[in-house]
Amino acid sequence: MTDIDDLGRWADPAILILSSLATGAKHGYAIAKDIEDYAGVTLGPGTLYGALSRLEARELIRSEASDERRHPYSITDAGAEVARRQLRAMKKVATSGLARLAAV
Amino acid sequence: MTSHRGRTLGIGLGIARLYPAAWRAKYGADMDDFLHHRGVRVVDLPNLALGLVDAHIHVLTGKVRWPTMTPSGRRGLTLLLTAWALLAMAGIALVKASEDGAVGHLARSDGPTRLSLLGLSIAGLLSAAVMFISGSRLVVDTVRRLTQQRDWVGIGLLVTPAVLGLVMAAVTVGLAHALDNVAGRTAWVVAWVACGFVAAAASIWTLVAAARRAEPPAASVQRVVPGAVTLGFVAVLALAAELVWSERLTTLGSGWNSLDGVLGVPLAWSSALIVTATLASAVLAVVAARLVDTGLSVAGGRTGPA
Repeated sequence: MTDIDDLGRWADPAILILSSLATGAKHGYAIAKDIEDYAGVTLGPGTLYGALSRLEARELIRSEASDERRHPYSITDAGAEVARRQLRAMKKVATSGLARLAAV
Repeated sequence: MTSHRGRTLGIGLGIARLYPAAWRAKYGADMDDFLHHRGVRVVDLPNLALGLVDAHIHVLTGKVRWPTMTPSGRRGLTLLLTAWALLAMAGIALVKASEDGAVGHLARSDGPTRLSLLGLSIAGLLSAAVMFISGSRLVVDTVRRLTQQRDWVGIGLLVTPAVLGLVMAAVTVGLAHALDNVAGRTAWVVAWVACGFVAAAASIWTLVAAARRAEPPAASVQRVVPGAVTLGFVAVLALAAELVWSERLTTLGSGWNSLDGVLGVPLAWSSALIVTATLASAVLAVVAARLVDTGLSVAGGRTGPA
């Protein structure tokens, strides 16, 4: 199965995008705005679309059919599983780290 | 301030227009919408520029890398390239030997020379056999993959050079007995050149079609290679058939005169060049894909908090 770390430098924007799409299909601008709102991170256009193209190539997201020239993106089952696994790992690190820091 | 924003938006949209056509067909409208809605900050410009470089590399090489070939396909390609090199060396040596008429005369009178030429011929035949087996595996592997993907256009492009090769063989064998006259040789040359041009056009068309379908060139080259290889096999077999048919193998020294004519040698070399160039472009495409795989991807970079 694809691991988020396989994306190298794209891993961070990828996890933000996957988390954003967990609440429903969105266009690029809506994804970027959502990420700003929930994570306080601004993705540049080159970074956003570079990550989107890689996620789509790995079938972690897909572009939905649309009458417009633009297509909204949605998360796939594989994408949800990858994001879930990565976020759990991050949560474990965060919990352990905070517990250790509490003793300082 | 507004004009400043307008300027950066204009520059940003200008950079976005420079993204590859295949990439823009997929993401261009959405990116334009993104830039219009959010506007373009100065810090977005280098991000867009780096994304531009990345998009070109990404489209050029795509996701096609060695792992997309099955292990048997990889082994087949490796064997094929090795055998091709051996065969080329044997062929060059034979041509050089035939150019020097003294070698032919020595072959008839001098035992060691005759043995050397015999060894060279056996090495060439063995190389041809290895090429045939490994190339066949590559063809079967590719056809199986294309069938699974229901890529009928790809199969058609794969079959085209093979059919052309068969036509070339048929023409060659059919006209072999007429090679001693100018009309026969001219017809042979015309058939070879026509088939060669069509085969080359088919390869170029494959790459153009691939670009339109936003398919990485490496994928199409991998598709073209087996066809070109088949063409090469049949060309070699046709050449052998021509030599046997016209009973020229028995008099190696003088018999090669039929290929030493004004048209024969350039023709043989040009057909070899077509196949070799196709193989070389395949290797280059794979190397490019490997380079990107090992970290030449330079897009975007991370952005910090707003």
